[in-house]
Amino acid sequence: MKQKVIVICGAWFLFSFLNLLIPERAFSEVENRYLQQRPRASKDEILDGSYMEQFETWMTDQLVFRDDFVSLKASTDQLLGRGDSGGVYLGRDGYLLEMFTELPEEQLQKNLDEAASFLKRMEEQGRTVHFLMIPTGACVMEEKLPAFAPEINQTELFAKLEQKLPGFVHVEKELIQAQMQGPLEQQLYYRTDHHWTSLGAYYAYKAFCEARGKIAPDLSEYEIEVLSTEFYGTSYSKAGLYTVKPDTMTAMYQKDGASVQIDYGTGEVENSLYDESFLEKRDKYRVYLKGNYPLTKITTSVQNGKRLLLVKDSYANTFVQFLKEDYEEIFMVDLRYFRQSLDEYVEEQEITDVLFLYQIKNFSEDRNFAF
Amino acid sequence: MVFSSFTFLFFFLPIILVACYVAPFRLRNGIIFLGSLFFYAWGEPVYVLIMLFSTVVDFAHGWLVERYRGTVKSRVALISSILVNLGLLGFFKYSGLVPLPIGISFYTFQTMSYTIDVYRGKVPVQKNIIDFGAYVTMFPQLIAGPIVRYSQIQKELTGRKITIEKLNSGLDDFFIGLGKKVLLANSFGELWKICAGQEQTSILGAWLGILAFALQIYFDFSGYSDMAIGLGKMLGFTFPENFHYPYISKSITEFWRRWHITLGMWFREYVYIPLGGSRRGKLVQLRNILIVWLLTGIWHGAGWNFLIWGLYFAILLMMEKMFLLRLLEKLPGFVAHLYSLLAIIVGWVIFAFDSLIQGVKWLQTMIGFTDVPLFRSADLYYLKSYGILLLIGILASTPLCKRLGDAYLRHPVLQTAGLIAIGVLCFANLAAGTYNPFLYFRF
Repeated sequence: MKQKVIVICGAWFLFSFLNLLIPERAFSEVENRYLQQRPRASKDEILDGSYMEQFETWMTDQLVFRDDFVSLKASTDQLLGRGDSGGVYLGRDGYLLEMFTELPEEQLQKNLDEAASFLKRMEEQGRTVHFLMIPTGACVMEEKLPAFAPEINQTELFAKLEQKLPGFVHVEKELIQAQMQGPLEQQLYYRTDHHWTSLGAYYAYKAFCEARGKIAPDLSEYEIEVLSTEFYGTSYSKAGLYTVKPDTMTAMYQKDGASVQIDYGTGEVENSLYDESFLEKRDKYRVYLKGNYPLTKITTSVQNGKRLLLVKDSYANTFVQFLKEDYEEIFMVDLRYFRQSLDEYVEEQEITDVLFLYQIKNFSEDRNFAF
Repeated sequence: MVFSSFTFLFFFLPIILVACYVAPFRLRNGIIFLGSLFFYAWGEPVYVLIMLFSTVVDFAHGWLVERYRGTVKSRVALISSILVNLGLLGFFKYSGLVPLPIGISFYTFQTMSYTIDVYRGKVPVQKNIIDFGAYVTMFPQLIAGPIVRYSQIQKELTGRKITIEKLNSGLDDFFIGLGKKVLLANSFGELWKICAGQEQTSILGAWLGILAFALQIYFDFSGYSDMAIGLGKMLGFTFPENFHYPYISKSITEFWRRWHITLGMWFREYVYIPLGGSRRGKLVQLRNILIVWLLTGIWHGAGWNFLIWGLYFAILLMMEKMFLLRLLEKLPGFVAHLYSLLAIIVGWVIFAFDSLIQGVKWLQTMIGFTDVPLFRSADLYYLKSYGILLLIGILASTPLCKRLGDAYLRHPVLQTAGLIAIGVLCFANLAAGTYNPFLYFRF
């Protein structure tokens, strides 16, 4: 009994002491976020209790072996039959799939109204309009979901959206078909991230081509170059299940494809859709067009007079690999950061085509829809 | 500060324990007093003043009661003490004008027990305000019980020993309590939150939800009590038991002897028996039951649902006293058990919803009275996600786990490994920073 008390108290005290000794971490690689640093006490923050909250966050964030503890929790949950962790399904074959269980009806309705009226205006002005609504990975890879997953039915939802949005393209049908018919090892979405892969983007492009009465180049016409085999995405961070294997990222292009000049509005002009410096960093998805800028202007070597306004979220960044063959200029706008009136901008730039590209969950939760 | 926080586990507790073990005995109550004030102020930096006020006022009242013993003034002091305590409780808990100070329902009841017992001559008056302060503010039981009456630890306040046996048993209690809270109650809390938040309900979903709530509230509260009792032992105190497998009861009368025992004992000692208890005929007894359970109900909060909840149990208890108990004894054990569980579950539905209408709706869903499906596929998902844990929870709420532990976990090495495993799993859950409320802080 004495030994038991000594061992337990000893381990406990040692661990407490260790917590004080180890140096602070500023950033967590696996969680992809900044950690709480030792808070400073001030009279106001003590009186309103916020100092104590920061202190507890600090203790939690800087806990010794924190990552191992978090991973242990996710693993035991999985062992107990839990189907999700941190808002992410623990799917089959190591897939961590973004959950989409509740539809924010009100916000979605508002966004639909705004987008539809803008697109109708554009249509009336004689511009070509399209809307690509991208399903989440869970919708495309239903067979990877845990049994009875409480997902909303996205295919039903898309059927409804078609009625409301001008130029609506059923991307999900193409993706689901590709998923069912393609080879087993193909990956349309990442296992550790909510984004689609370049291949996923290709099938959406195929559907987009069909909608415009074109035929997309066959898959075999593309070069596929591996960018990284060490990609751990946001689902990985959220789930906390650090035993999952990393993803592979690829670039897809045609040998004789159009060349590009990209202006991020930062003064310099670049010639590649890929910024490989991000492959050394945590947020590797930014290898595609550096992530999200308010406005990214892409001038291609194509000469057909078509000027495209692309209103989009981050899913578009892999999509432009294919899109660049069809337009002379592409103006990518991220409404979260773009502050100019879009109607005026369209006039100014003499836009001929308008394309909206959003993932359904992002779209229905976005609070920046106002034109 | 809550027990299931890293600040407590790795910062406050090691320091206070070492300080208490190293310091000479005469300083220990002072350390507990100051440490407890810090513990309380960490969560309630302003309201700590109310607790200090309460400490000083009750100390003074106790002194006045003793000083004027045998005269009217003594009685006036007693009444004044009760009025001040009930006044504090009434204002902060029921006026709805200010946020509720954590634990006020617990510490006002404890301080009241002191002045009443001094008046009755059951305990000697406490002349040392540090010792008294250590009793009132004692951090293990300060904010969620057990409600320790002064008479129960009066002797230990001035003379207690910390032995290796107590430390050993205290560690067991503490880690088992932490496990109940962090590993079981928090998960059941998540499930309850999911079920209660569903827009479309089903019969299965309603049962699953209330089962989760019943297990959550039991493991949350009894886990907290276990931790408090364990910490008490580590400091050399013996606190009374607060839960004794309430869900194996075969009647509601039995349930209330097993659930929140210290609150029941408090009302018994200071309300039920003074009103005549069961010694003045059936009718008076029934009236007393009604009064005590209405008080028990509103002790939990200002909401109507708590009053109804108390009334509900009062009616059941009165019925049991009149005829039901005799009937239950004749029935097979499992029928009596089933009756009790159903009655308790219905009680939790009333308890869980602030609005009575919502509670009634939930009950209707449970019995399929409304137009809802038997189950939806999402329910199966949650059943699969939480099923194993629910099973563990159900087993752990019976004496089975303890019996198995006593039989097979005798070896100290196994016990050590067991406690460390519980500890590591708890830290893992807390590090992942999921849902971590304490239900009884509301009361």
